Amino acid sequence: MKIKIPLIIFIFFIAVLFFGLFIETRTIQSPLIGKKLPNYELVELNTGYKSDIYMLPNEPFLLNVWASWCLECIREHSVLTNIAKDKKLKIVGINYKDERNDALGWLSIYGNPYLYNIYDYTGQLGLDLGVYGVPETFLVDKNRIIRAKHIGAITNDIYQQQIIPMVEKINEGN
Amino acid sequence: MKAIKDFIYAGILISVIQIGALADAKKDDILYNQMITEIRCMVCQNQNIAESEAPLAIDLRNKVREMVDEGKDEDYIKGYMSERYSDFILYEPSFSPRNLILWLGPFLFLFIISYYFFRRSLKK
Repeated sequence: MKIKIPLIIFIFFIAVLFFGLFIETRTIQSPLIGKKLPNYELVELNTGYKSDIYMLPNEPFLLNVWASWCLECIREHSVLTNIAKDKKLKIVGINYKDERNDALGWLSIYGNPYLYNIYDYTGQLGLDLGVYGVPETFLVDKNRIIRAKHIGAITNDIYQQQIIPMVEKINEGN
Repeated sequence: MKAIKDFIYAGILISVIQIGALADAKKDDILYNQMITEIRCMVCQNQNIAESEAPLAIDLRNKVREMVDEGKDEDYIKGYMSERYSDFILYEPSFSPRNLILWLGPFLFLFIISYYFFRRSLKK
């Protein structure tokens, strides 16, 4: 009995540390979920027209942060193209810390699934949205409340199994 | 003679103002240097933004500099960062209900262990 209790504590500790190895520390839950999108006054990437929070769609939509220098975004692009074809959700892009010509060239090579793109050259909007690993995607409802965030590339599975059910839930609620 | 006096007074006044400005600048630098060592680089998570050369770290450093120059204090800067990037961005998390176990857990653990050993030594 004397040896047993320290032994139990020891094993418990080892177990905690062992399972700690498998905790995903790279994706951090955003504190912005449930909050309103921050205000911004930027321009649209292609036209150079003013773009602000009031021009966003009046329905749930995806807000996708991308850049031409981001390799993972190329992989994600085919998924975004599918989502655009599916026509259930509009996608607004945030072109993050990118050169305008590079971004436009990128879109002409890979196709443009975006309704339009917000041109965030300085990265201030990205900073306000807590962006640290492009690509990142936000699901925003018609009241401009951030409902979910995904860090890294979206896959077809994530779209079908997580995003679509969430959008249906949002639509039922309204 | 009066002109010389005025000149000296003006000189003293200017140096006092200068010293004041220098002290202010120094205070700002201290706050800046302290802040950038306490904010985590989210891209390379075991470095702070003072150590990291990741583009995001550079952006955050510039943001801290900007806020320090605007005269914001430590709480404001930390709040600004954790509002956007969660408490994880702060090397020293705030003492909030959510972080209570983080702060008090070790003391609780120490208490339980010492209680256990205390009881055991009594039995002997």
